[in-house]
Amino acid sequence: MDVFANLLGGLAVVFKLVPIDIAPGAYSFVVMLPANVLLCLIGALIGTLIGVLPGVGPIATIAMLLPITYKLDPTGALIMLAGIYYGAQYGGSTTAILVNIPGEATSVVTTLDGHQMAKQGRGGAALAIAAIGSFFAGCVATIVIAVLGVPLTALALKFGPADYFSLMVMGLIFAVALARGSVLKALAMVCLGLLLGTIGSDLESGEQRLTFGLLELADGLEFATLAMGVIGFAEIMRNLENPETRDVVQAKVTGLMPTKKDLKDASWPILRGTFIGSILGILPGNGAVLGPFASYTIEKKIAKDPSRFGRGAIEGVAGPEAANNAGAQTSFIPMLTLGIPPNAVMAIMVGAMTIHGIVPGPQIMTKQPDLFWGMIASMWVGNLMLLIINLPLIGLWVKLLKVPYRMLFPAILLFCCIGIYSVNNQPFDVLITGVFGLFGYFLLKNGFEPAPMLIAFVLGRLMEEKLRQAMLISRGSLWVFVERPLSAGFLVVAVVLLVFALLPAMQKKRDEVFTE
Amino acid sequence: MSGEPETNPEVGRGLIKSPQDLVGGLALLALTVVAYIGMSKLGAMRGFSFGAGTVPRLFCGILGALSLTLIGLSFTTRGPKLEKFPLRGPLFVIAAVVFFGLSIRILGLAITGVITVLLAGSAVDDFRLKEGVVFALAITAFCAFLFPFALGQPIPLWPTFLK
Repeated sequence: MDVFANLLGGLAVVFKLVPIDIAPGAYSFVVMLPANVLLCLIGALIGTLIGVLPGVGPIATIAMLLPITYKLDPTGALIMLAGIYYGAQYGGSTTAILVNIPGEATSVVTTLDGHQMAKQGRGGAALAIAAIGSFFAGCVATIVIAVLGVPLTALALKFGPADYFSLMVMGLIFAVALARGSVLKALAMVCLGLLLGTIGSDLESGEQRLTFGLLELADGLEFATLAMGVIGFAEIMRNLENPETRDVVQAKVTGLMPTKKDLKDASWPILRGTFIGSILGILPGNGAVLGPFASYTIEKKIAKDPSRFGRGAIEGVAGPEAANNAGAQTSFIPMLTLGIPPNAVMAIMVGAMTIHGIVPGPQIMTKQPDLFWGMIASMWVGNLMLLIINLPLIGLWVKLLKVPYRMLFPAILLFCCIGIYSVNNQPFDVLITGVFGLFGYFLLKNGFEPAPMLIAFVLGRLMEEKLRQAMLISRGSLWVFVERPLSAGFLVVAVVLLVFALLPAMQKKRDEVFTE
Repeated sequence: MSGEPETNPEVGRGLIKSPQDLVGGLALLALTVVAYIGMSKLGAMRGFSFGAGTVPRLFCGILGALSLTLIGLSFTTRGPKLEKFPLRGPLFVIAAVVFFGLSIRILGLAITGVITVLLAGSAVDDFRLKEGVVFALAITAFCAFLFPFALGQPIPLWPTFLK
């Protein structure tokens, strides 16, 4: 099987020994080290560490740690960043169970039953089931990526500019339909993101667009500044409003091993969660966030005794945790194969890749197979390492949770500032991030979700390029978008989806899903 | 993302049914107008070839239409009330960020870091100066070691006037 040959090749990349000078300078001392595995481990550990801290989501984490990867080679850097991402997912679950605070959005559901289990003294079992479920889901998702990667890449290489444009339109509509809150507001956010994306020099004529005479904007806005501002800084301001309430489970976490009954109860939910999460993760938009919600709802619906849910049902931890991790990993698929980030985290990964000189898209797999398969294999290795190292480290994470937020956030803020500054060594970037921070806070306060804006911003330039190419090839005829079957198909899906999202009955359903 | 917007059970009454939509729509409309003025000199379509301004104008037009719809609907559809806008938190957080941006090249990380952390720390009501100073020194020392030394980032560490 090609898939396994590719994965084995990827594993070889991950475990490759690299000569590293551990004492640079006069006494050069070169050792052979499996650098990529170490980076994967470091990434996963840092990711968990930051995932555990409440109020710091994966986006802020990656943006904050981006400068750390500058000196690495692209493969190592991406392996580390991916590790940070799924590490943060693990960490988020730990806080959800022990403190009743979801470390990030995808572990909101885990708080419902996970924290109840912890209160009943079964925190160890909940953590273990969450880790096992995540690991299983991670393994399956890795295989899904490997299997889907080749055909999707082949398909993407056949795309014409019109197909690409329509695909991106569809992706943005998905982002709108799956966003929380008003559809109209999400659409407006998409337009604003696209508009922000046009800032900078024009692709063809080099004219300065919307720079208002600022030289610093000639190359366009830096994605990190927008993301860090509207998500990272805005979140800090939002967190400052709410006085801290932390419900750390004081009882010692003992008996990490789940009982046989726990494992039996959890096995089917894990399978179902993996399946749901994998599919939702591939969808553009907030797929990975929806997975755990969908999984929880299904488990509750098919349970013999639904009243147990919310009171420490192990199925309510196992299913969503599996879905969460599966979705986190399959969301790499659209980015790696089509070059289209499905969610805000992937959007920042695109930013990271660009900084390392990699253009996301179908050409990665053909031109840089080592990078592609190495990254995918590293996810599996990383998940295994997390399973092994995370459980013994729980004591440390609990200690970390006792650091009060009033000490935490100034440090986070300083890290963010340094991170943004070092993207281009531009003080201007830091200032503009501050402006975006205020704007993001305003958006949060008025019920706008920033995620669709970020995705639109990343896609903006590519969309414009493809639109212009398509119009040039078709000599100005808009029919080109409907005549090509692929393009027409994407547009039909987009329109149907948009109509559905705007139907009053569907809007009610959406609200229910999000408030549950 | 932990700071999800909560829906306020109290909805707007009177003429303005959804104040949040109105304020949001007006803000977006203002941005649209600024952007539209900013792109007035950009090239237009030449035949079927796009000019530099074509796509920005397209996005701008859609955004304008959407913000007008949002404003219109805020008079007909009920929505949540405006949330309180606390001053202290955002003020100090932004002050810290702006200070960092303005002074990093001049004062260097060693001084900028300490003041940034202190400014940010003042965003909470129960800020404690002594604890804050110790913490600011510690975290700056850590950053000074990590970024310029361990990672070799070209961040100025000391003030320019000391060199």
